[in-house]
Amino acid sequence: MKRNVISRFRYLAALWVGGGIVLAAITWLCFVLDIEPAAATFVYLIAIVLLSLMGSFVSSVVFSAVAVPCLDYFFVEPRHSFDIASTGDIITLTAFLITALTVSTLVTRVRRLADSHREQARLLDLTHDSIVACDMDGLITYWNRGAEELYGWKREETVGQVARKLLQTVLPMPLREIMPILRDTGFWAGEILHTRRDGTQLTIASRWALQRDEAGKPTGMLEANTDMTGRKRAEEAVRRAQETYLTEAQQLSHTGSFGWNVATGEIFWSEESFRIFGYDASVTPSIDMVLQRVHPDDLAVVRQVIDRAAAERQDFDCEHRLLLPDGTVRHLHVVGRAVHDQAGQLLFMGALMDITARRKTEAELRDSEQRYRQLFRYMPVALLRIDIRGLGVLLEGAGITSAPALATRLEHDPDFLRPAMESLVVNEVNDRALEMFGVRDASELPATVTRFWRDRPETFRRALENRLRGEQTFQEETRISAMDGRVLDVLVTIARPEAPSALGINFLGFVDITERVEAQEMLEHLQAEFAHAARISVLGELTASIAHEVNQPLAAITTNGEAGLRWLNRSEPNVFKTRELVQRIVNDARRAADIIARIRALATGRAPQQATLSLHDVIEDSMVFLRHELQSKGVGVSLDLAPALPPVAGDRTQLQQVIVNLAINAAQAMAHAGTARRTLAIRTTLPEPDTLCCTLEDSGPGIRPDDLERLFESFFTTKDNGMGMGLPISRSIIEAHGGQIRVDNESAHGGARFRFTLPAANN
Amino acid sequence: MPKEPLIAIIDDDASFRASLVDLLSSIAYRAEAFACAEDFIAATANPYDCVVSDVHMPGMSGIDLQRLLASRAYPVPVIMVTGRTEPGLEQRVVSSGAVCLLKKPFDADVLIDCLERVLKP
Repeated sequence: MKRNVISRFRYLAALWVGGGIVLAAITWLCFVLDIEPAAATFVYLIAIVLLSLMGSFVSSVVFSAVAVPCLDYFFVEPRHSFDIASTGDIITLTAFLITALTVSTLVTRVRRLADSHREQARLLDLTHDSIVACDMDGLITYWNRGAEELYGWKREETVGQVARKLLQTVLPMPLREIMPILRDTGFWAGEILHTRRDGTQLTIASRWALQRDEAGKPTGMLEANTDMTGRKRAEEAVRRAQETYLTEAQQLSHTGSFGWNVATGEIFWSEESFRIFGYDASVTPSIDMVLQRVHPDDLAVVRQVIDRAAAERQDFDCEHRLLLPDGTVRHLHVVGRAVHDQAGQLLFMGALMDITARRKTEAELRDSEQRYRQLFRYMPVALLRIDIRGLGVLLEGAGITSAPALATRLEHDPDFLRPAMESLVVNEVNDRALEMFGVRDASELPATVTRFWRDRPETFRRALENRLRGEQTFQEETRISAMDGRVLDVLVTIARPEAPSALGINFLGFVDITERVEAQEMLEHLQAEFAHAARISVLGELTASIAHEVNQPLAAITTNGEAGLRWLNRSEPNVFKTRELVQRIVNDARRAADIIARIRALATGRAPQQATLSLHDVIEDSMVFLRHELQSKGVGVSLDLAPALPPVAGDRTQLQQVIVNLAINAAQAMAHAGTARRTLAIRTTLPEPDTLCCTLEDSGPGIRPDDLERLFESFFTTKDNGMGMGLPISRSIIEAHGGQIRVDNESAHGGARFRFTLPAANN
Repeated sequence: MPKEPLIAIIDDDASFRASLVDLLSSIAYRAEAFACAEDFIAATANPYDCVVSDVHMPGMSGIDLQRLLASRAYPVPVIMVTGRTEPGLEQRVVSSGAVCLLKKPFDADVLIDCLERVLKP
């Protein structure tokens, strides 16, 4: 800035010095040549005009002011004096001054205007846009550097040419439509195509301004053009990508889009919309085509929606079904938004969502939920849905994460089960559960499970341990208390679903097994009765043996008694001998009483009694009944009893019954077959430390292979007058004692071999 | 004074066997007891005047013994005793050649009568 001022000052100084010299030179020359005042005035005027071209208006004024006294002094009469003799000279000098100032002013103005024009042109050259000015005939009058760079032609080549022809302009609308807009508004903007010198086509954002003269008459147009090609291409690429993504997205989301011009009935569909309606993309969509596809049942509703939308110009949103020609049914959700185009026509833009899959999923979910509800509700098992989250919190809070941890806790705090029960909240119960607990409504049930476990808290404890071991299910036969005071035998099942959605939910199921337990008890009772009946039947078979067995001591008693009497009746009574005999009588009487007691035990129908027994005692007792029967059938018995057998737990009478039964069967089979050498070997062994085995082998004919399988079936018999109950009862007795009974023909004596095992009694 | 008759008693029931020995001793018979027929046969060198034997015994029965004695021409009378009541038993005993069949328990007098009948000279 400062430098500018300094350079301007130097210029002015030089001008004034130069101007002074020029004026002095002119004055001297004119004076020497003795030129007339009028001519000198003219010369001065030329000099001042020339100087004003180089300097400022002020300089011109100064030069003019200097020139007037010079003219007066050197050329106006009287010379060499500033006096002016004639009026004509005053006019001349005045005219000179006015002319000089006027010309200086004009020159300064013209110079300023030129400067301004130069500046404007320079600015237009500076802009990146291409600026083209045309007259009203379209001839180019101005062409800036931007235009040179953009189109490839120099200014000199273009001025005077017809712009539209040179640039092969393609307008978005006819020129005859643009011109009125331009004329009315003075401005038009649009996207046009130009062709460059090298033949490439450009997309141009063009802004036209109309130039008018002072009378308002159009004189030309100024076009400012910006090259949009690059941006356009990028936009095109983006648009294509968006379209691709949109199509893809529509396919993926089963959502098509549509446009509907209500007035013209024109419909636009996206690719996906064509697919949804089941039409080929080449057809032109129409409302009729839509209605053709609408499910007949929904047709009335869809028509109503369309009519109302068209009439009320309102957005619409509806769901309906489509029935495609191949019979497929699709569920459609249609949303339409009312919009107006530039021309003010009503348009609907919207989306068609194919919700068939969602509908199907929803229906399936609903069905599944319904099935679960039905199942839960009508299951003939009492079911409770339990919220176990409270228990989780309780266990976590107590630091109980394993079954041993629970055991430790319960050792110190036996009441811990109670808060655990109380933390389990009953969410839902089914009809059978209400019935089982003896209430009419779920509201009559307690909120937690505590009450149910009143009788058997140990079941709850085991369920808890089972949970802590991470097991999915728990099952146990137990007892629960109903609300009306009944105690029920139940099979309890706890299921812990794995699905995350079911977290915190357990199902507690109760099956009422009271009847089953009763039936079981009844069965046991019947079995005992049967066993008793079978024993009576065996005793019947053994009557002769029993009679003999009892007769034996009786005979001894009688004989001893008689002998005693005789010793006493002697002249010298032998008291010593008599005492001995009486002692024997007592022993024999005891023996008889003992035999009768055993028979009575076998004959009574008392319930089985568990006791710790010696298997050998049982076998030897059985021999009491068997001895004479076996003898009378000519059967020799050998007993081979293992030393130091552990005791067994069981009912003496029932085990005796088994042995008696097997032995009689063997004796009868051998007698029936007429076996010459009849042997029954009874042996006990200890095959495993906790298992006793008793084997009865005979020398009879053995068992027919066909019969082996069926031997233990009820009512199966090979005897003429057998009931077929002896072996089934023997088997049920052995199995009830935790053992097994087997039969084969592997007897060392050539006949049948029966073996049964019994577990050793604990401790 | 004639020697008291020697009676052999065969029965597997020890108590009854002993009581019979005592009864016979009380009425001045000598008696020897055997637990089974086989033991008695081993001792037949002795001059027994009579044998009182049980019918049913393990091993050789009374009836078998009677038959054996008959086959050996050992003319000793045999009195059978039994605790059983099975039909046909008496028939078999009698047909075997036994002189009496006594059913346990029996009166001492019945046995004495029987013995006296058998031992009557």
